[in-house]
Amino acid sequence: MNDLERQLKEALRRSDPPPHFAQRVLARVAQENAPHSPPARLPVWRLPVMRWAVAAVIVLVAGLGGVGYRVHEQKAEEAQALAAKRQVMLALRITSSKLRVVKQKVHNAEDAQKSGNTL
Amino acid sequence: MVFSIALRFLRDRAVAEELAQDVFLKLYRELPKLESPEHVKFWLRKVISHRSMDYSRGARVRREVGLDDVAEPASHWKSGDVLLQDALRKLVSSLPDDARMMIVLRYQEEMEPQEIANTLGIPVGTVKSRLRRSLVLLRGKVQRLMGEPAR
Repeated sequence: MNDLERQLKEALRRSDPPPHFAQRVLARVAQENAPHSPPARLPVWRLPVMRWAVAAVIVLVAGLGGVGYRVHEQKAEEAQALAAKRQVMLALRITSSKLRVVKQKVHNAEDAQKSGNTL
Repeated sequence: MVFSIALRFLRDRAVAEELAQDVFLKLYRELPKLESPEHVKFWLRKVISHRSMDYSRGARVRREVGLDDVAEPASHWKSGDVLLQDALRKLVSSLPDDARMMIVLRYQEEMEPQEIANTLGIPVGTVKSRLRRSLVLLRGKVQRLMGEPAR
């Protein structure tokens, strides 16, 4: 080893790390070992499950709305049929009473004719 | 050892500490794979050498040091001369990355060319020739700086 190499060896001799170097390394190791914090909480309305819930509600409401509309329509038809039936019955009753009146008049007229023939 | 290799190579204490911390953190993760204290030592030298050279290439922290940038040391070779040592460190920092790392590993870590070759993953012949050329280059610069031949 010549002078230059000896000087290089002295110039490049090991240098101590800065104070507290080991503590800083250990702190980083501890940080690495720390349990991972949970991911940032999303607002409730942005949770994936909420999207499914909203979709389910929409489907449910649309389905129930359809059923409700059909029930309502059916009831309206039934009410219309009942009203028509009542009208028919009323008309029949009126017709029947009028027929009875006419029949009574005819009967009275026949009775009167019979009694006139006998006199 | 780890901090010192980075420091002598990069000449930046803050960066050297950062890289050394990274290497020890990596060591902590890789420790189960390392088989012996010798293996750990080899691994540390290898990783800090590559990290330092990668950093140097990426950040371009090295600047060419001209003789004008180097303080003039005492007029004669004297062991332990602080100015001479500082001048030498600056001259070493003017070497190309791979040659500089070889000089650091050879004269700080006192590694044999074969060990340097294993650490850097290059042929031993390349290590020997670059070390020789680096020494010739450094000797020339020292001679110009000192105004007297360096042996």
